[in-house]
Amino acid sequence: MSSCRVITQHLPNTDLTIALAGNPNVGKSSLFNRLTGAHAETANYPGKTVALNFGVTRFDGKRIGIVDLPGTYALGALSEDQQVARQAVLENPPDAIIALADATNLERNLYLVLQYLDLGLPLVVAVNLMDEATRAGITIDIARLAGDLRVPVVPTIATRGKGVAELIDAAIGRGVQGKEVQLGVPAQNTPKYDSEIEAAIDALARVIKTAPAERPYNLTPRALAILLLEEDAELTRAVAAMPGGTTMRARARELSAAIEARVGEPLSLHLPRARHDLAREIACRATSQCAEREPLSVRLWRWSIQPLTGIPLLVGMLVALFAFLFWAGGTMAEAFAGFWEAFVSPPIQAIVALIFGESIAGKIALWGFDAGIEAALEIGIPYVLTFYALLALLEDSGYMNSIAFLVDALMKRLGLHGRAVIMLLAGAGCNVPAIMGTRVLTTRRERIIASTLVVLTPCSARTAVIAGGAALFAGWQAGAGILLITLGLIIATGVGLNRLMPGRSDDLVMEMFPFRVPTPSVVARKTWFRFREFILTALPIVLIGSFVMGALYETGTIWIFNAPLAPIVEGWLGLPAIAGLTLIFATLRKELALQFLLTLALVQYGSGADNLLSFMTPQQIFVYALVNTLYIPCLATFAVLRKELGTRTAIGIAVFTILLAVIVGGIARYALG
Amino acid sequence: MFPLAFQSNPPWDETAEMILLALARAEENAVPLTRDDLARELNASLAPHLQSLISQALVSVDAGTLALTPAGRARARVLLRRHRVVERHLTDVLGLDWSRAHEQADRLEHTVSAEEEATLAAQLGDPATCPHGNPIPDAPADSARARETPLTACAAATRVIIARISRETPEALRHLATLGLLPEVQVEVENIAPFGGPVMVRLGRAHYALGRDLAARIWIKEDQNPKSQLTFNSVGNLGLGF
Repeated sequence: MSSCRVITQHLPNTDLTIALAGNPNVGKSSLFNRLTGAHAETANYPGKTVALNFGVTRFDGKRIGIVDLPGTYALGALSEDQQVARQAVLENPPDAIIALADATNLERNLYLVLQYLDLGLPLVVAVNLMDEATRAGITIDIARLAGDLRVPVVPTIATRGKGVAELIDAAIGRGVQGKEVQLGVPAQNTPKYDSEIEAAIDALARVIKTAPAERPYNLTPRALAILLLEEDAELTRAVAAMPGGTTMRARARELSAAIEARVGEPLSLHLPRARHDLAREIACRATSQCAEREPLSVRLWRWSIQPLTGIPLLVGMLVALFAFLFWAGGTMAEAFAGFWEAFVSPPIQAIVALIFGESIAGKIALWGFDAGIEAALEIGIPYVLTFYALLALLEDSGYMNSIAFLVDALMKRLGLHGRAVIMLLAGAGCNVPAIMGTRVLTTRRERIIASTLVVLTPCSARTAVIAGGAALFAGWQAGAGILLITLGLIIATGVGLNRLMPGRSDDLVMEMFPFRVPTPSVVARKTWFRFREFILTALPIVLIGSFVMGALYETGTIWIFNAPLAPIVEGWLGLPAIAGLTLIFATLRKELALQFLLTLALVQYGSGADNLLSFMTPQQIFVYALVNTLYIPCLATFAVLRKELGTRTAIGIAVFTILLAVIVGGIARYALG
Repeated sequence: MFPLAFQSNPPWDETAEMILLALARAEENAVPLTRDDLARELNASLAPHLQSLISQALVSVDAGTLALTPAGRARARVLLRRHRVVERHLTDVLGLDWSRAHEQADRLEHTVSAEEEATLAAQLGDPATCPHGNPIPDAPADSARARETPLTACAAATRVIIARISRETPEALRHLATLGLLPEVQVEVENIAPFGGPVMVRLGRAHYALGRDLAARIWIKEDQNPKSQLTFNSVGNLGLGF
């Protein structure tokens, strides 16, 4: 089995490595941030879309590497994040694993803890969210829990740093102890299930022990036996390839069949059931609850998912969100443009003039280094950054799950489940991060449908053209009309794709959890990492595109596209020929379509063409803004589509939107007379 | 099983069957149905078919509202049973989407013979309800599955036991198992979103939202001991094994 050194590669020169594991929403990120501060990096696990966070902390004079594993409910081969969580600790065993458990729901959280113990890994359990447990009237008997699990257990409130020092201390102790334990000797604290299951595990472990080959990941015979009996896809495959593997698999099937004949379900379901039962027993023994209290956050959460209160709340929330985004974004964009023109643009222009003089090359360089970089940042900082911050707040408060719950029925008709609504919302800010966000969808079918709908969603740049072009010159009804037509087309496209594309989309299976106050450091980190990814993807494309467009424009080559575009632009859409050229330019930045139009109009018609209405009718402006809204948004979006879905699909989506824009634009022209 | 006279009596056809089915459903839901409602629902011109049904004394008209006669009701029950058995076959055996089963069954039911229907029902273990949770007329009351209903047919705030999860791949079943969603497990239905939205259940202290299609495949039975607690129940000497 190939071993990848992802952890050592990201955490060199450390005395000790500790991995953080746990269910989603147990405060793992808060603990990670508290331990590592700002000095952390995120990297995708090789060949996977799931990311791991790496950081270093100092404790007692030791440099400790911290790996933040993906939050999962279980370990296994069932989903990519579960695979990564397991592979990361098996391929590169950390000195200790801190498993965080939610004090308000020990029963469900201990399932994962028991799975780690089944694997024979050195564990320390942190019972986190102790403050929330207290509010709900729950007390946890830590000593009893530690006694039952036979591992150190530390109560923590990660958001406030309570118990964190004790936790790290315990983990270091565990790590030192772990190193002394001889490899291959089964750990003492593996959970024991009922006698029937234990007999099956022992029988299979005996077969495994006699096998001549090295076991995958150097697993103990017991751990491997459990995984084979649970029909774990990855380990079953790995065992098939080793000498003696066929005997092991045959024995596993035989043992599973014998139990199935008695209990009526295969071991792959019976063992998880037994693990849940054990988790429940341990949780019950350690938990006591006085009168069940429902804190305000829980009551608020219940209102947010009742349709009668939840839907008005959702509508109000979205209106507030976008109003804030456009208001704050618009103000910041204006301020940024002013700042750029006053302080950044002049030195760039001076440097370019120094190198290239007044030549065409100099003008082309300015297209890229001045206007290009400004363009990426002017959309990026005000709109994308603000949007990401708001999105992180929605996610970390738990409200995103309420939204997904309410809109699942609608999204289902578009071939997606409720959680995909988040991408469409993100797309209204900027399509690039929204398409990156489709990674969380499990099937390719869902990713293609979601990406296509995101591409049709008017981002802030396109909304600027609708507002500043159509609404300004042709009346607000024109602007509202374009938005309504677009919304209709998004729904029609979703319904159509859902019917046409083979296969079916996954059903929603989502944990719902009451509202929680987001941790500022976690929100800031999330926002920053997403923003960085946006800049790294968008900036090079915008820069290169700007040079190419600059060269086409400054050398006059652009005008040769006029003739081939004329039949569509003049003949079918009824627009001036130069409008077609600006649609090419607008693939750099959609909001510049208007500006390009005015610039080219001045060249074509001479001065006096600085008002759109002097050479276009309101109907033409409507058609122009509509077409601009619908066709493939921009080069950066295309680049990210290509990266996420492959060249063919990206071209397919681009061609679809161009055809859609031309057809709908033409229909609009004839409908308006 | 049903009178041959219907088949040989022209003009007998699919539209007439659809009319009887629509009336049977309206009766089930206690909704009055007028000629216009019916024309809208079936999206077809009905006059000759309806006239024929009235002249055969299967349908009666009272002040514009249509109703089934006892003979018509008996005939409609046979059709309704066939439609719902076919739906179950489509979802449980052929794996068709729950939401599409209805329209597909509309198309197929007219060609299924009484013998085929009986075989299908037997193969499915004589189900008591269609995939949408509506009762199948004349289902044997004593069959083990007769008391099972899909999670979607539950009222909110009821405590139930999962009986089985139908037509899931082994991977999906194992995924649900890791969350604790297994047969014989007690859950509380907390919230059913309107317009075909998800169902929220509580399992222990965890809340899960389950898409409607998935929820329709989770069959539940009544909790025999509804007072029992979901967690922290009677923890005595459990003798933990480690």
